[in-house]
Amino acid sequence: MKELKLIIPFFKYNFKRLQIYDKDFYLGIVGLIIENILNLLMLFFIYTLIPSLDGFTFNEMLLLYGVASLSFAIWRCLFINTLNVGSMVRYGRLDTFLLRPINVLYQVMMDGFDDDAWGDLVFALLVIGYTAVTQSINIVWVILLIILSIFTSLIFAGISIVGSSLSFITQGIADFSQIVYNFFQFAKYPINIFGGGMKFVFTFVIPIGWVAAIPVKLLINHNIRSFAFMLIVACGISVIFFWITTKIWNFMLTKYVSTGS
Amino acid sequence: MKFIFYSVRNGFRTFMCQKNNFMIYWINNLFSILLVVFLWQQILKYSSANQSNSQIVYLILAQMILAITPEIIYRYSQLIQSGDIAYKLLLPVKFEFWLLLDTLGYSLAKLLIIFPLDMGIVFIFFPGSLSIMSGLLLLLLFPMTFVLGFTIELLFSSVTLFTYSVWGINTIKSAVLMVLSGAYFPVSLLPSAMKKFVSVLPFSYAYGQYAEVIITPTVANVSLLVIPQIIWTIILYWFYVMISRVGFKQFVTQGG
Repeated sequence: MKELKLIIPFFKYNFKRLQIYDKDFYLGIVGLIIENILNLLMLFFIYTLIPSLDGFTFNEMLLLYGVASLSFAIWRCLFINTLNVGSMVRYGRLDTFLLRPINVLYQVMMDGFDDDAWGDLVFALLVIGYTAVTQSINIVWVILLIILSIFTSLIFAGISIVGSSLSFITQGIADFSQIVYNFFQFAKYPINIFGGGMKFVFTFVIPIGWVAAIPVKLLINHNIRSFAFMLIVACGISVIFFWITTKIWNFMLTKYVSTGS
Repeated sequence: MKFIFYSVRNGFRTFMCQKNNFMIYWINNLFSILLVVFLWQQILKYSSANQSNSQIVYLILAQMILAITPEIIYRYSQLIQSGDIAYKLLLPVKFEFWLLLDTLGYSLAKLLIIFPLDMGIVFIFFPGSLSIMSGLLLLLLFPMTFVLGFTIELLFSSVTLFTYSVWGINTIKSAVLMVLSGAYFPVSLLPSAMKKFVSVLPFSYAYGQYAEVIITPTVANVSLLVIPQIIWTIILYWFYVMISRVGFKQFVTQGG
């Protein structure tokens, strides 16, 4: 409850921080629009070479891209600050968080957010909206896909939490949290294009296949009953994965030794 | 000469100090390669384009050069935000020259870490795709490719003199490189209009075309790489000088 009350003050504080580098903020928004357009252009170029990729046509691939991007954008909006744990450890800022009577992981997440990720989020929603119209997808399924993305953003959060928790034993020198960007690249494509071993890992170990590839495949195959069931499974897997990663975080935190900076 | 040696060595040692990060570089590099290999194996399987493994080897090489090109934008921005740029400008050599040497050392160390892994993948999974001549060219053409990559980074970095922060301009740079560098999509497979557009811009000469020449090492290809590299380095550096001249005049240091 205490944590919920603090969300708005944290957001106000973070927005004020953005005003320090206003020019960069606008450049960032322009950059993200360019980045998203060029990402779609790359997909288009791929489809000039082939008619479909693992059974996904261009428009279906756009839906996959939109859902994966939405999930990633939600992670960036709310949980991205876990990427800064390495520097927090190095410069001793984590000590401040440890002294406060609020959950440390929550404080880390709320201490900063990715301002221009909100633009990414809007762009992902536009892509999903466009493909829903062109593919005649029912609005109910679109809403369910958005809810799914909220849950699956926990998978990205979990990956970055585990990655950043390694900073506790390396005094912030080695930090694997950036690895979440690599996993996002894999989440944008059908899971079947990767080899059997990787497919297994992405389904059962680091479940990024559930972010978009598995549910969207069922949806475009009009396997609605399986799709609805898999949505529940995907949400459950996301929550369980996140819970496990927070346990790992708490364990690793017990190994933390301050640098004294 | 001593200054050059010590600056390069300093950059080299800076990277080598971060032993804990070696694993991160390996994993990042491996992930990038796995993605391009699996994706392009599927694409080439179903496309009418050339289905040989050379396109995949091309992408592995392009990813390698992308991984070792220093992201000096962050370094530049850090110097500006901390005010340390003032000290660097007081050095008895040009600040940009010092930065080039320092990042060269850093990149050489990175190359030492990533090169065996990437070449191991190429030789094990795609045997016979690289000749001895390819290996020689890989080393001979690296310095000029590095200098062009550095100059592109330097030009983008100069924007931080006006914005002080780096996130925005780095996002634009990454997006531009994604499509125009040829590191993610082989230039030869781009639609013809796009191919022409890419060939009149500098980005592919620092990444994709370098990989292309190593795959098909002919005298004509080498000259079609090196001549544009030299011309673009001069042009981009001139642009950098113009922008930074204005930038340094209006720049206010934060006090350090």
